[in-house]
Amino acid sequence: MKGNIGIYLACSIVIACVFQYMPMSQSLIGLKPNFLLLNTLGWIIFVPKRFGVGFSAIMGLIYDLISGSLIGINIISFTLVSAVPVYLIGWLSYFSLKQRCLFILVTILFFEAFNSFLYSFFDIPTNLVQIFFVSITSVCVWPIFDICIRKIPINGPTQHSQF
Amino acid sequence: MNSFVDNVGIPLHYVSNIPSDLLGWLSNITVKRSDLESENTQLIQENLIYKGKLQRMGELQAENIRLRLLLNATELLMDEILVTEVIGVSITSKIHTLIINRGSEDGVYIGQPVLDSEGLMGQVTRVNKNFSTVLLITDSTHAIPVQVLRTGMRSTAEGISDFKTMTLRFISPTSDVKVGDQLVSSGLGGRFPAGYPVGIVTAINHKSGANFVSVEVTPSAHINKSKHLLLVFDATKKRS
Repeated sequence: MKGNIGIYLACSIVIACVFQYMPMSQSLIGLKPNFLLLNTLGWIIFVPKRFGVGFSAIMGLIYDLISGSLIGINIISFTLVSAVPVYLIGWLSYFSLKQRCLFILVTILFFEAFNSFLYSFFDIPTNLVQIFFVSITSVCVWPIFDICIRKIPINGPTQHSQF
Repeated sequence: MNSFVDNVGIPLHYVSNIPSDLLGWLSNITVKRSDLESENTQLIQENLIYKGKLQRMGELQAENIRLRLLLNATELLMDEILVTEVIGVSITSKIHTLIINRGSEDGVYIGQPVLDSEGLMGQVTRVNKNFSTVLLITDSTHAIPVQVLRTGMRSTAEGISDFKTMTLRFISPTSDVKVGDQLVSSGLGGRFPAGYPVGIVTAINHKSGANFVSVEVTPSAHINKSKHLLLVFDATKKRS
């Protein structure tokens, strides 16, 4: 069944937000994967001709708004991180799941490190161990996003990124 | 913009709370009768102890008012409180905020202090119709005027985005602060009422040559555990 991609996109964002909002204990909150970022990367990797850095910036804005952080921090981080899969357009979707997991591990490590660097300007301390563990948990949940977004039927792909 | 996002986010908060609510419900229905009976006995005993203390408090309060009147001071006003429930928490460990299920319809206002059973939790920073956002005292953007209960020395406790630790800044090495000292809100600034527990001094580090000592404080409130909180209404302001 080929449906409107917008519906799938909206559903994926809502589900990612629900998981992002899910309350966790003090000891585990630092390990919560960034579901919105994984969702963003999934769309950029599997539908590269429709989603790019502009889409990523919007998702960064959504993350800024729902987390209550300073507007702009996550816009910059999301945009910067999504530039890599945009640069590797067409390649990542042909990789195996394991290879994509490795790519996600490196990407999330870079994202968390860069994000912590930005937060350090506001005297928010960085936990280096937490950065590593967040990357591990993100890789653990990535296959769900990978399988779900890869299987979405897409109508009429375009040649260039619309955002 | 923030108000719009808050309104859209509230249903998502409720949906995301379903698994933890289900777990809580399951643990409630599977509890043993013997456990409930022992808990009930313990609660009855605690209740008796607190009632005894309350009687003593009433006597002390009356005595305090009499002494204040003798000193020609204003009568100490009792703060009005409202019970509220946490319906959402911040999605990242770097920002320490909570969403509570009371809003402008309940008379909640920006800057209103929030407590749990053990101490000060934070203050209301955004108010919507039926819910509000609370900035916790452990957030890195938050600071609260405090005083040491033992000596009366005043300082400011700042959050560092760590649920277990706050810091006191600009404390002189010659200051009379010890590990184990209780800190309470000083009431300076007019934002927080005076006398509520804020934390306990857990570590004092002095590097040789440094002008100030680094004082670590553990918050009294269960910052990341409390489900039910108290909103304190300023006694000088009438609740609408």
